[in-house]
Amino acid sequence: MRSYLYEYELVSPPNLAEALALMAREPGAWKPFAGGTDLMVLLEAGKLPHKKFFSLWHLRELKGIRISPEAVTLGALTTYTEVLRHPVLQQEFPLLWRAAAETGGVATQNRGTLGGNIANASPAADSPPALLVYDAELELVSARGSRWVPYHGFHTGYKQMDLRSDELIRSLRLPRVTRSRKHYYRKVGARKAQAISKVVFAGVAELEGDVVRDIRIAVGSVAPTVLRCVRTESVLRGHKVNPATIAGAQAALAGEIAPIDDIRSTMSYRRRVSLNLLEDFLQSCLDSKR
Amino acid sequence: MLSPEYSSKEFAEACAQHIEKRGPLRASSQYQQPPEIEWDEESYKGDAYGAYGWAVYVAEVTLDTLTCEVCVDDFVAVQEVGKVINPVLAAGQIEGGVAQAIGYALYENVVWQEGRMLNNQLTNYIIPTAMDVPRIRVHFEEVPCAYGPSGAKGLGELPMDGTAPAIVNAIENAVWASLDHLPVLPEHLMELLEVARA
Amino acid sequence: MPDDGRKVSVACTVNGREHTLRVHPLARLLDVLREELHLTGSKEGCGEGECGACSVLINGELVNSCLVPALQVDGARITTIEGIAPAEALHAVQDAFIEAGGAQCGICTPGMIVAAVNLLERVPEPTEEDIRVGLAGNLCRCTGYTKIFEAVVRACRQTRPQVKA
Repeated sequence: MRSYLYEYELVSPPNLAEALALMAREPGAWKPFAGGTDLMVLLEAGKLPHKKFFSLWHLRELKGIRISPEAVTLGALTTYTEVLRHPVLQQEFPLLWRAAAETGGVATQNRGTLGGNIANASPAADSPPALLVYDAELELVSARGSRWVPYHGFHTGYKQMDLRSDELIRSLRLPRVTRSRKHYYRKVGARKAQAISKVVFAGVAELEGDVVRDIRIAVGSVAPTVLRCVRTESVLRGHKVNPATIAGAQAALAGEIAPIDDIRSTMSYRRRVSLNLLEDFLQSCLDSKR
Repeated sequence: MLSPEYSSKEFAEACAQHIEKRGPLRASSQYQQPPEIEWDEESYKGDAYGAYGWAVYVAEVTLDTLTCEVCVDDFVAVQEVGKVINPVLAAGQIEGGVAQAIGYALYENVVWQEGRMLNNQLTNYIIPTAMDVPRIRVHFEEVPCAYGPSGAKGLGELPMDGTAPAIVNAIENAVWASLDHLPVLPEHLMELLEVARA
Repeated sequence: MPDDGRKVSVACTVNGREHTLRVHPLARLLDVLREELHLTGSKEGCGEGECGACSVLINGELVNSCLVPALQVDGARITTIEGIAPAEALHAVQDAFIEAGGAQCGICTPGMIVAAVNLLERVPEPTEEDIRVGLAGNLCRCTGYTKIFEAVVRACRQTRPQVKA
């Protein structure tokens, strides 16, 4: 433990209203602390500059998965384990389910939360590409009220997001329109478990024969934020999937992503893998067996 | 005190009697290398070691052509070690050594910057997890060595010697190219495949 | 002491015994277990939630105790490696580890056993894949995992003779 504990505070507001009141009284002074799987690592490394936190872990208002005919609404404190144990998520949102299964190991999955993952805003995170291709919306709440925003566009830059200093993420909402679609997810890491992604790719497509009626593509670890690849989508929407359109889509994707060299991987590897996965995704859309 | 064919129980009793009557007994001996083992330090000729262990390692790998990730699917380790004294521990040594060498071959890249190791944490120095290592199949042959205790020879180093070459040979078999650097990373294999495609 | 003002009261049950602890709210559960309660079975292997040597169960779920702040176990039921075995005997998993040779240096072993016990509680008849997934968060450098898998299968067979591996 490289930090001096007594410089830090962690308080426990008894309910959401009290937590929001705390944030409203001193905007930006107190930051939320969920399962701790990101913040405790920083604390132990001596790399947590912020000192005052309030614990969300016991706040019931942020928990639970509610199913309605139109949508699945997940509390921000939904853990990866809770995602994995939910049959509707496994059936209708398999990419989110896959992302949860590939995040860390069992112990991480029991403590890591979707809200914490979004707020931590790592461009390499495993769930955000799935959330993007499922058109997730976020409910942001403060003492002033609440607002819903599309997750697409929520991240505005590296570790920057459309979240005001007195706001918390309360829920995520996924519209239940996915049943007839093709789903594709691939996380590429240095090993099969406990790996930060080098590339993480999510795709959802609706086809009529071999024509793309609608499509969503999102890739992580290739830009300062998780990336929804709208230009690549627009090149494919309304067109048949064939070698020419696949090549055109790959060219569009190459222009849309901005991978870098870093401690985990290289720019050229990330680019090549992204293009390969895009092709594999599109081929899988044609293959009725996949 | 002891008859020529003494049991370990008799030996313990004899020791106890000696201590009671005459106090502790000290004995010492010095190892003398058997004269048949000759080594010339000047010319570097002869037998550098009194005994050699022998091994064969076989690796079966899968290379994913989309990502160039390599996975070891099956591994067989055969060692001739003179005499296996404790079968469970001996197999455990081999299995552990093979797993370490799988890391050496595929995962354990060291990233240097100005003389410092950048990836010096378990989160970024990549060692194999339970999902990355196959069931390692171990077999021992025993040709007792005249100089070893009960005929035993050393075995711990063997898996670290042969495993990575077996894995690299398997990858070379898959990509039809020569590899001369460890670990073999997907990034490097991807470059090779790009060159091959071009 | 001036630092005491930041400490809070945390009430929890550890291995069946109730405790009320005065600790800093961000103190790592791992440190509280080792230093306040002298339960040194849980080890620090990495301090960053990567190796699993610190694994314990909180309300029956596996966690890395190096990443859990003490405040958040108020009201929780914690089981450490010391509490895994029923009284006066070894847990079937511990027995199996001894027989199969699942431990060499032992540093991963407490966490590995806690994870294996948790796996068998959740998945009583695990496939080989289930075992790998269940133990993926527990790094071992010595054994190459093979005898650990054998130990889990053996523990499984002790309680359920018909399991396939």
